[in-house]
Amino acid sequence: MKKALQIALGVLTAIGGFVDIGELVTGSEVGARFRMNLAWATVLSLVGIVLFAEMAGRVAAVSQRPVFDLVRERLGPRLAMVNLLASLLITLATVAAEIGGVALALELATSINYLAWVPVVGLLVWVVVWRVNFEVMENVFGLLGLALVVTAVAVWQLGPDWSSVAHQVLHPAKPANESMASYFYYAIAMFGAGLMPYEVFFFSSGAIEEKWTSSDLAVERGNVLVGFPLGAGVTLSIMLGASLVLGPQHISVSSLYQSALPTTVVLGKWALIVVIIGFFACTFGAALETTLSCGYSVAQYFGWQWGKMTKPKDDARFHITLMACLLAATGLVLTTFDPVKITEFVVVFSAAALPLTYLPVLIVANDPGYMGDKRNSPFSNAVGFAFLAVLIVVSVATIPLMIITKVGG
Amino acid sequence: MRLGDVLETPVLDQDGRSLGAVHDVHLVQDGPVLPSGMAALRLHGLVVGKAAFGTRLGYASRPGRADEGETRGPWPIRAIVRWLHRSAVYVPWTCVLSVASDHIVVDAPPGGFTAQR
Amino acid sequence: MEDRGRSLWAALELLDRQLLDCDGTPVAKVDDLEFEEAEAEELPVLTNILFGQAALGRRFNRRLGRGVEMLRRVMVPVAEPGPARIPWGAVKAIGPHLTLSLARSDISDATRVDDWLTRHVLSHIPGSGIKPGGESQ
Repeated sequence: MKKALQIALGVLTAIGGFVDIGELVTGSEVGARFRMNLAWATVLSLVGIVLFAEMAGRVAAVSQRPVFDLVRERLGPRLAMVNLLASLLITLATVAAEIGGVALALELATSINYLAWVPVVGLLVWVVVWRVNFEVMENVFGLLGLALVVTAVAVWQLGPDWSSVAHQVLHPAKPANESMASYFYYAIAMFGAGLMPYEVFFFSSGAIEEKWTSSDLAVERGNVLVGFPLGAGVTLSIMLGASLVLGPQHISVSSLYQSALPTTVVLGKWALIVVIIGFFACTFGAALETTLSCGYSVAQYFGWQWGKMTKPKDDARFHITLMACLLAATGLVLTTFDPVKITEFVVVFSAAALPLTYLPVLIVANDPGYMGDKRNSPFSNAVGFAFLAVLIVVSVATIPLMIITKVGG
Repeated sequence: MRLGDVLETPVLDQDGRSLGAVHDVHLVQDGPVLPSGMAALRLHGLVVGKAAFGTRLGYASRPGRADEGETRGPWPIRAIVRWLHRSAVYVPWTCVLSVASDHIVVDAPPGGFTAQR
Repeated sequence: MEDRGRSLWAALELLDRQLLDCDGTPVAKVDDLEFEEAEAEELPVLTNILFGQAALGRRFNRRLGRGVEMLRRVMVPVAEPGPARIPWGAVKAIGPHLTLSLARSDISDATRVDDWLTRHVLSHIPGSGIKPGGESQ
């Protein structure tokens, strides 16, 4: 019974966990411009996150060592430092985008300018990271994130032409008024929104924070194989809502207000409140996870003690790193760089940096010394390697497309 | 002498020909017994090769290391890494003539050193 | 370390591995390994594990390493020349990570920075459970 409850809780929190400011903003924008013709990019990123989260969690549960710990062993300190710096920079920008997202959700709720909320949010994130128990933190924000399901309800109410939607999803085509370069640029953005470097580090370190062992692998697989697809479903609802409401009106997404529009237009004011709660929960939860990931990766590179599970006096360097990262990210948002624009950059650069973070996971998941008989099956390797090839193609295409489309044009 | 200084140092034979750089160092537990009750590790040889990448991914096999300990997948990555290291050789420490900060000179036997798969 | 005659590959199995203390707590990484200079005809013996910023710095660049080592001499009270060391004899087990027979609290080089930060920074932050001065409440 307890196991079933654990799995259920994991699944539910994974739904909101899949969605963060990247999906909210990019999903709405893509839905408005390309209808459902880029749904495949979300599905592809879902395959990726399921694959690698399962591997990273399994490596952590079986070997009791988090992924980034092993990156330095395999790649050597110099290459691992390149990996660390790249992931850290992107993740710091992601923290900034998420903090901005929380502030924007609060602005939606209160009409007080988001910049006033930013320092408050930064402080709140730090308080939770400093004091709140890891599992409580994950469960509270995960469950609150379920409020986003209201977007699916709204889409249902809208009663779209499901056969035409299915056609766009299964036979994607580039809309006539968009260029091929833009189409693929946004495909990469949508893909990167679903698969970010921090997720692997967070998932594997989180498994150790929650003290998972080999016997918890069923829970872990439940979270990943059921929770994440449901989360992708929410993202697709956001995309569909945008395609039905924003698209025909040629409303482009430049603020969180437009992301909420499809739901409020269909369901009314109460739905706005629910959707704001959902936005708040998923961006705040993501702010916590990305901040912790910064601390995890730095501490694990240098071999320091880390974790919320440890008393602060025993992992002072970890906590100082967290504080420094939060300060930097909050500072970035306070420069008045539009959080929506930061998000757009972050998702694209995430996609470009992915091969660096995923290659070590794939290799270590095969190591018998670490994994024993829980190492990858030939099937997982086949899929994992095919996906790595996809990641390399995406990575190579990103910068040229960014230049050609002038960042999304 | 530090391992970090020896690794990646170019290795030349007594005629000045380059054999590559040091990729790894072979230790055997056959030294004097330490206070902890266990034998110390002594440096028996070097693995020298030409490719720079993938020396520590766990794919190249080394003698004395059980085969089950070797990472086997995914096979394309393993194949690429092993191909990169095809010319690696094992140099016994007794063949090392001098260790300087920027190169190591070894005394190569007439047939060359044994290949290290 | 069980069997005499066991073969190990230093870069593959020892270098850059995580060091855990006798309770499983992370201590540091194996940032470098030190060998005793061999007499003629003798093979070099592995003597110490080197760790910390000075040892890691030298892996990147020799001059950087020397600079950090000098900084360490200035900042650490009774440092012998060179980076922080743990004698190889303290290693109890070798596997995916290296386990020491010591406790982390016994290795002053490993706890120095954390202790300083705890005493001077964290203790001033409410909710840390630390009294100013560094003891737990």
